[in-house]
Amino acid sequence: MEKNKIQESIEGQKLFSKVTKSSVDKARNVIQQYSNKRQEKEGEYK
Amino acid sequence: MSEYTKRVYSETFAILQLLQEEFMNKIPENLIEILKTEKDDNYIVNINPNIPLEEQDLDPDTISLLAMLKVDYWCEDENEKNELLEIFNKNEEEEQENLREQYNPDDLFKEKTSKIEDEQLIQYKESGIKKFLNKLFSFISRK
Repeated sequence: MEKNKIQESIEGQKLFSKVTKSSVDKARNVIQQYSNKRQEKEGEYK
Repeated sequence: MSEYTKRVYSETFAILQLLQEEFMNKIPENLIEILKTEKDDNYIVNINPNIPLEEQDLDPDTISLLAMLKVDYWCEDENEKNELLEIFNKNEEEEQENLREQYNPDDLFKEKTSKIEDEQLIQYKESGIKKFLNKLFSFISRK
C-alpha cells in the first residue's frame, strides 16, 4: 500500500501535539479492562 | 462498553485499515480483535486518506487511542517514544494548571471573602453617615 496522508500523520507528531498523558492512560486502561473481561469470559467457557 | 467508545473504536479501526500492513502487524492480535468486534458497525466513519488526520474532524479520544498505539507499538526507537511522552506530560501539566485556575477553591474563597469585606465596608460607611446625620440633627435641634 502506498504511503498516504493518514500514514504521514501517524508517523509525525503534529496529530498528537495536544494529547495529554491522562487521555492516553485512559485509552490504555479501557482496552486493558475489556481485554481482561474477555479473558475471564474465555476462561469460564473452557 | 458505551456507545461513545464503540464509535471511537469504529473511527480508530477505519484509520488502521488505511495504514500499511506493517502497522497492523505491530499491534497485538487481541487488541485488534477488541477494536474489530466492539466497534459500532452502524456508525459511518468518514476518513479521507488524502487529508492529514490532524485536519480531519476526529474525536479527541480517537487521537488519544492512536497516541497510545503509537507510543506502545509504533515508535521507531526510545527517543521518539520519550519525545512523545514529554509532549503528553507537558500537555497534562498545562491542562491541570488551567483546571486549577478555573476551579481553584482558594480563589473561590478569596472571592467570597472580598464580598463579605465589601459588605462590611458598606455597612461601616452607612453607620458613619448615620452618626454624622445624628450629630447634625442634634446640633440643629439644640439651636
